[in-house]
Amino acid sequence: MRTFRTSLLLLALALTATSCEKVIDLDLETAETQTVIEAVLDADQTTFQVTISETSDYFNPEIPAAVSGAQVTLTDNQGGSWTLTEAAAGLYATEVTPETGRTYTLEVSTESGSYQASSTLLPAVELLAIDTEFEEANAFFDEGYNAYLRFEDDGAAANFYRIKHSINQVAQNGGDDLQVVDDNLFDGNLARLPIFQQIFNPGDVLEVTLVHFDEPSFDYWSTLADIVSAAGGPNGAVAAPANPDSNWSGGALGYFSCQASSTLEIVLPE
Amino acid sequence: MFTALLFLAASFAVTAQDTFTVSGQVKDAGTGEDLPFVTVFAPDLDGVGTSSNIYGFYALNLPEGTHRILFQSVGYATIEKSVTLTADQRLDIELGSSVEQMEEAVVSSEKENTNITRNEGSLTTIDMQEVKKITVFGGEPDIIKIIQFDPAVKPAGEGSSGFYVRGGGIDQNLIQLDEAVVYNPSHLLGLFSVFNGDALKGATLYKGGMPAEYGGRSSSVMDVRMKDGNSKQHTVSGGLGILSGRLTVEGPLVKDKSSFIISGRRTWTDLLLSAAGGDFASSSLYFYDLNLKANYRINDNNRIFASGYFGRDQFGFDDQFGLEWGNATGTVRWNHIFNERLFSNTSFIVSNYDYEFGFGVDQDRLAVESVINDLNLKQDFTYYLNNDNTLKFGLNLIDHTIEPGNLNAGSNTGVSSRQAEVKHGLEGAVYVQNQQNISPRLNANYGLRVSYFSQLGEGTKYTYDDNGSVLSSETFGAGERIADYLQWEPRLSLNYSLNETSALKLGYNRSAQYLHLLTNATSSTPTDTWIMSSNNIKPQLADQVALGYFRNLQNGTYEVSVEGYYKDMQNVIDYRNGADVFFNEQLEGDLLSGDGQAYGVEFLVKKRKGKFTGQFGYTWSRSFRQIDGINDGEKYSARQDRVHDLNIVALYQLNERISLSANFVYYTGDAVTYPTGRYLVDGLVVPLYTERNAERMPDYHRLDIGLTLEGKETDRYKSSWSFGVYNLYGRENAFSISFQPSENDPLVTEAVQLSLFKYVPSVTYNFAFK
Repeated sequence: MRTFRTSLLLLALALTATSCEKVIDLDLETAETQTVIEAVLDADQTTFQVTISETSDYFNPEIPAAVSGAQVTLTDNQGGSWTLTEAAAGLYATEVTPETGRTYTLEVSTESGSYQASSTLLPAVELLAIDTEFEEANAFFDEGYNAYLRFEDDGAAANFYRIKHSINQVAQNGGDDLQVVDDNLFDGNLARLPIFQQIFNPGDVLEVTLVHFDEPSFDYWSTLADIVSAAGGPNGAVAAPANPDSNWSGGALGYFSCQASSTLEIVLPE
Repeated sequence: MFTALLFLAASFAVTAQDTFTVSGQVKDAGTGEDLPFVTVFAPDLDGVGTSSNIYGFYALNLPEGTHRILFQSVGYATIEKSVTLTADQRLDIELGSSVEQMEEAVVSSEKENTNITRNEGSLTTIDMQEVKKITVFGGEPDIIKIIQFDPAVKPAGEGSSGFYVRGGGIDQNLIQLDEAVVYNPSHLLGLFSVFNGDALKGATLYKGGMPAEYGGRSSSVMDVRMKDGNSKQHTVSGGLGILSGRLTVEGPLVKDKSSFIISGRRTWTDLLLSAAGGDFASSSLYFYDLNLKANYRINDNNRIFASGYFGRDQFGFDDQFGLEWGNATGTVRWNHIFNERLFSNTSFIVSNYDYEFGFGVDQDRLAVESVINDLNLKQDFTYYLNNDNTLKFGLNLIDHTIEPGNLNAGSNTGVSSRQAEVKHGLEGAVYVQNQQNISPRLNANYGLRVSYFSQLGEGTKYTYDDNGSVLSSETFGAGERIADYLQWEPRLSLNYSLNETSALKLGYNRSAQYLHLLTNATSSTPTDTWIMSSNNIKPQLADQVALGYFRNLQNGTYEVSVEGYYKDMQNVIDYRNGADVFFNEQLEGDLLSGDGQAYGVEFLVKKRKGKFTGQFGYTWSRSFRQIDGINDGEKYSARQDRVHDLNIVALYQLNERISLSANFVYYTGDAVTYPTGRYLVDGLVVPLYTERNAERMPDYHRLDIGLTLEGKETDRYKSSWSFGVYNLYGRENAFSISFQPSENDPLVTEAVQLSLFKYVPSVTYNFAFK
């Protein structure tokens, strides 16, 4: 819907050539520092990493401060247990072979508190094809290719996906590239999902990854998308922006997510 | 209840045997239009007076004998009639414009203090003549933009047709056109309202102390009435502007018995875009609307009206994207005068709103449509019991159907076509109210409205846990009751005249609301979702108390008022964080409800007479919400919690042909949520939010000016030019502030302000043929 709202705004702007955009100075309040924990258990990786950091002032462009000296433990619902060690400041790691279907729990203890989150590792959903269609230039986009992901959605369960892509080996990771979707509209179908707001040029090498994850992961990423896209902020897509729905208990920011993915690469026709 | 009232009425009637009733119709002498709110009184009998209803009907009870009766209305010359009463008598009256020479017109020695003596709660009446004098955006005479100058009303944002009344939400205003609810009053995203000034007679806005005859929304009522059509002669009038054109044809069908009006309007933005070429050349971008009305006077006691409104907005860009929406309403009314004292109106009303948006064509097409449909039956009686008591009572029954979303998907999209569960509801109300002169100084309007809402099948009843997950679901058959609500809505307004030129007014009302608009964005869009009350969504309730002091100075040249209010709201709705609106059958699980409070003081000075007229309004007000699950359950500012609000309107009649207008608006920036910190997730800079709506947008202010030049008037032809500039000094008001990564370094973030309109000029040519 963000795309849609942006379009509406553009329509309004098209009516008047007198609109203008400018960077302004804004005095923001500063909140107390909070703990941020980010962890992905990837089905295809045997090294599991957790980063722990702190929040900083909004306009401070430096990399946020790392949190060292934390106790980090991973367990699963089959009795497995792994202790992570600090490999670099704020970066904790261990070797683990993820098993599909298991629920993993991550426990973190720092000077500021104790936090816990769980996630279930689901099977990867195979990306069958990437369809492309050439479109002439229009009011919103230059000419180029639209790309659509084709895959079979499992009709027996509610499924949640994230779509990532890179162009010529450069990962596309801006706020507007964050695309997550549930299968509400295509439950059990041969899905055909476009990569939103992106036009590809002839000759581009396009790599697309379809991530399959659980509902708490989806909730986190979809509420994150609401506030990091260009249309976010006051008067943007959401009138009342709020922090993403995290699966951490204890009040930490960030997420712990088990993910399985499938990747395809194509070269767009000249 | 009604039986009891009639008994009561009958007993009063016995005691009033030696009086007779003068009743009739008040009309405009030039056009034959019914004139509502005309004050009718006998100056020699202290305190004996009434006013005409919205159909122009009045009834005045007088003792046997000869009396002077005065008919008085703003903008019209006062008329005096002498009647000798030996029996009930019919007296139809035509009032001429105060600038025209009328044979019957008398220079009134009576003071024009109807604003002091009249008791209708907190209300503002707007006459189209006033609207046409003030230049607003695009040069269109727009009644909603004018109503936004009222101290109790705040616009929802730059160029918006949405508005807030005394701290309430946009959806808490009952906006009706000839009694039909208009669900979306916006064209072109709010730059224009759906109300074509040429087709309107006027509007009344009830802000507090709402009479019991109105209900269904908790904050205010904006009652817009269409013209009936000129019953004296045929006229063609219209206007040509930069963005749009208007044309109205009206006239008698059978002289003095029947008249009609057809009024149309269309924007030519799409033609302009197409002429400009470039990216937008193959796009469609326009709206049109059409107002139709006809009335027929069968005899003195029976009259029927049929009116309709159709409007549509159309946006399209090649085959890429299309959006259209529109309102359609229809009203059929029957006025019946049972006798000199009992007036009846029966209305059957249809209201419809729908939108559709889609992408692609044929098998690639993906489109969503949504429809709201209301069937509404209203029966209202006015009983002129005696000069001290005017009773109104009636009932209202509305059948609501909402299709929240029909998804039509082409075979190539991988998406299944489906229809979200259609919602049904029945809303009913009975009311009774009495306008009573308790003493020459004190009059009261008190009443009770009892409203009822039933959520009906066929449909599914869900229950949810605290996290919004489904606990149970149960299927109901067609017409089965899923949930019921009954609300008692007491209404009261008191008017106490301290002396001839000053009065105290006190109002209280409770109002219930069963339909709610879900809008998560800041500007309302055509695709905002209306939902009904259900087992999960309780009716919104508002209780408001308002107290005001009103004073006229220099024989009515100046009107001064101070009004304070306190409003308590229950069951206001907001989204749970991350709620999914589209095709979410369990949407109600994603909604939270809580309380709200609003209070404020409104100061208004109006200058009504002379070459220089205008108004100065200032409001200090606050509006808060408290909803469990939002802002940690702590009270927070509503978005429209604008503390200071200033409106100045100035009109200057330079000479007979040239008039100038200027209006200035200032208000405190909206309450918004800004980031209070940042962190990184997956390499993205993520804003940290702590408190809801704790910060402010920059203050808003703007000055508009206008000039109207009247052409030389002939017997057959009249014309005028209007020139205007919106936002004269080019203030860059913040429409939005967004936070974005800098282009050079994604780790550096910037606050970017978007401003919409700087110096928007307008030129309009208006004409009228007789």
